[in-house]
Amino acid sequence: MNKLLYPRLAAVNMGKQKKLYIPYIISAVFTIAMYYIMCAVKGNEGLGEMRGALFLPEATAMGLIVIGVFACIFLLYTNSFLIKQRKKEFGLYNVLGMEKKHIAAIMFFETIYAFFISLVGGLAFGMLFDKLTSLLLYRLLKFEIKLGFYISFSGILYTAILFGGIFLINLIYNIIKVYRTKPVELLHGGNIGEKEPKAKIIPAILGVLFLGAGYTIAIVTESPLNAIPLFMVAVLCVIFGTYLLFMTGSIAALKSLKKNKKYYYNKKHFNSVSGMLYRMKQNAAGLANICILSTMVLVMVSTTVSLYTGTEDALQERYPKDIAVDVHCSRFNEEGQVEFHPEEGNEMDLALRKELQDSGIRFQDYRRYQYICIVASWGGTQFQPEYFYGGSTEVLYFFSADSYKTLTGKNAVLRDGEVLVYSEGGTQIGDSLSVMNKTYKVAGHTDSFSEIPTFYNVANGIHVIVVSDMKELQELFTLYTSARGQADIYHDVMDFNLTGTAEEKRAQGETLKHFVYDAMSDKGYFSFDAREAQKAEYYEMNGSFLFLGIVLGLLFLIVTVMIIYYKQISEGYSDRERFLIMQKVGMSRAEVKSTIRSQVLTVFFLPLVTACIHLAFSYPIVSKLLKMFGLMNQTIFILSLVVTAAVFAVIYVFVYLLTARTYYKIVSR
Amino acid sequence: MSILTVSNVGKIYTSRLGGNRVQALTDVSFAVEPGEYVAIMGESGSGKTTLLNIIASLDKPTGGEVKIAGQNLASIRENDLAAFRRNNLGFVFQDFNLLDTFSVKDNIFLPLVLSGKKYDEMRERLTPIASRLRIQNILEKYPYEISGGQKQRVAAARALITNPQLLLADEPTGALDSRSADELLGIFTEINDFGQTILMVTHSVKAACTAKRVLFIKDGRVFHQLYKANLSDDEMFKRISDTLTIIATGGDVHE
Repeated sequence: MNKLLYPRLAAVNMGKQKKLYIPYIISAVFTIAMYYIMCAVKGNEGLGEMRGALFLPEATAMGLIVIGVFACIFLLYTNSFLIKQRKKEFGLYNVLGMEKKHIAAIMFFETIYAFFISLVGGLAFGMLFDKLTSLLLYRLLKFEIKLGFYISFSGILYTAILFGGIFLINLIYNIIKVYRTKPVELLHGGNIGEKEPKAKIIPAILGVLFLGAGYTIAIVTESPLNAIPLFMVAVLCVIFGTYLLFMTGSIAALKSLKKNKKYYYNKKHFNSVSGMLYRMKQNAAGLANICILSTMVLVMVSTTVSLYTGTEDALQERYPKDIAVDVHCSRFNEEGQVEFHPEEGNEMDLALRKELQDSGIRFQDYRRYQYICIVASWGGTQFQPEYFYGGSTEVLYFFSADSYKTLTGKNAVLRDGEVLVYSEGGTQIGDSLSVMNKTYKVAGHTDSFSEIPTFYNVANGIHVIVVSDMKELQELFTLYTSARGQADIYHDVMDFNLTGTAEEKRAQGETLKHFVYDAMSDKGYFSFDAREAQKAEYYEMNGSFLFLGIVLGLLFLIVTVMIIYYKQISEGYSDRERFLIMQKVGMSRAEVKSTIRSQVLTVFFLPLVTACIHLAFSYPIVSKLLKMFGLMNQTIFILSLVVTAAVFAVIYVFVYLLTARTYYKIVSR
Repeated sequence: MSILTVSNVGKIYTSRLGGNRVQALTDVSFAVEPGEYVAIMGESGSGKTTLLNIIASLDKPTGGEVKIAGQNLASIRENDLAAFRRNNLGFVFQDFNLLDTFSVKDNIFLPLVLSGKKYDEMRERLTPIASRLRIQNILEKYPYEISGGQKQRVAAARALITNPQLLLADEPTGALDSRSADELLGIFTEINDFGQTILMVTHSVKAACTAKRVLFIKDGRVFHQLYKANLSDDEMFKRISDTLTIIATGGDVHE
């Protein structure tokens, strides 16, 4: 036999199965391109040397894993669909006298072609878009460095190995599939009747329970700290619940509709109920997949977008002033005891003012205030200090009346032992307040205090307690340190704004940083924050998140689109028969079309609607998670949620219209 | 009044570019009276399926007219055609055309549901038909769970449940083994005895023998017709075979 027969047959086959092969290859090209781009970003050495690029490598490593796993699952799924549709073709070859090993040979060549087309296409696409994505990334991260054209050879290698592996697995799967089936089965592969699904009550109830549990967790979780582990639990619950409900709940619901004779034997419902029932069994898993992928895209993109757009806000919140020097005025002595040196604050204040004067740095809004911040938990009668910051701890801030005036401009007239309290959540404080065996009389409550330093902005409860004077603060310090031996609870803060451009601010920040570090070299603990320097770090982190969000969101979106496309095609083939028969039995063309259309629409938009419901329920817990990353502004989050969902819906509808066209072409041919 | 009148019907197929014109039917005329059982015979490509499709209003003639129960098909609006078909015609196809998504019972109910009938009425109508067609035990099964003969009987039940003026059958025994075919033809004779008018297209001589009248179509024309009258099945078989031989060998001598 001609040696070239199989390669040629394989090529002819692929040409004939364009409708199936093109989407398969396109999805492979996309995933390969995305994997390569991730590899290239990770391997790009220029990027590693950039200022502040700490978070990016980790983000890209995570992205690589996710894309790799996803590419694997996704390409296996599409392949299994492809082979199912082609069973008949292979059965025919078999019947016509081709041995299974010959079919295997054809499949081998088809796989080789598909692999090389996808790899070359994917890499070309990847290289082309690598530059584009790099530019996008730099813009997101506010990096200004320009890079030349860059080809990641290790990226090419990794990509080729990974996807070569995936294609090999697919080939083996297909060959096993062909070897295991009898020719007759191959021939009839496409049209074996499916049993009507049974209604399974228990899994359906389980599905409701899982979903309910996930939603409940999402709603009732109060502490952002608990939110991280609970979020994962909620996500798993919702995923399980969605699968169970789509697979069994939908069938149970449709079955009960069918039992209602009056409802079922009605022109409007007869076809759609039975059609949906038939569809649900075949497509429940696919629909659940679409639903979960859509939810992932929505959550990922909306959170990363809101984090990124909220960066300035978060910065402003966390660093109210351009420069902040925080002197803790304490250190451990040689015996391991905490020594208190309140004079260090005064010295820094003087030195800083002098330095500002000497170096000619223009500044404004200079202020100085002191406070003590401790983590404590409510023991029933009083607050007890805690070492660790956890899900049930609350944060207490103690300000002197003077500092209170500095921060708020308001006078607090307090006698000895009297305090003014402002609370945000947590334990309710009544007429008296006990901390570490010391009891204060609560002279009043204030209803706003916007100047709380936001280190602990995710705590269960925050209490601001204004005490009469510095003496009280010092006493509290002694009480605390003798009990806990922790040195950095006292804060003597000097902060101010600079007046120059961003560039000047950055340079001045550097100068001042050196000055403060020198001045404090032989003193106790302190910290120095320059907002302009933090800004870069914030943008790097949030930008990396956003980059990851966009790339993964895009990947999931493509996967979703491809699943939808394949579903439409396979449904088109099976609906064609129904379409013809119903017409012959006495349904008008328009009636048939509208019936099928309404069914397809329901099946199509069910996952989208469910995804939006998931998204709505995820809001409370996700907004708490975002607080952990410094996003306090709820409006930004809600806005990006709505915008992301809207954009996604538009894309979804667009995909629907596009695939519906292909679908109608198949059905009405 | 005749149930079906076909007058001078012609059908010309034109290829997409308008180059080739194929005359599928030429000047076909005949009538079917109430209670008749008519078979239309002809070789593959003789135009018999085209004729059936035109009678079934699934296709339009290029000349002549078709009247069913006195109504000219050409005068019925496109939107009302489906309902007209549903109310006046019953169909039995070679390949059954049952829907896998419905149980046997629901397949039979389909035309009634489309006509907006009540469930109780549907059930009442089903009972006698199901027992006459011997499918009462498989009503809850699905089409892929039953045999070919059973499927065709279900299809016949679906066609009969609307009490159609005319039952159209297109090669109803084509996909059946001989025992199932005999059974189905027995049922056709039986329902015809009860007064059901039947028009069947077939190229099986055995099937045609059961009809009371056989029309032969060749090259798009009615070529000949035979009445069974008092002939036995065997005699009828011979007459039909002879006619077919003439058509196959020297048919055009006649023209």
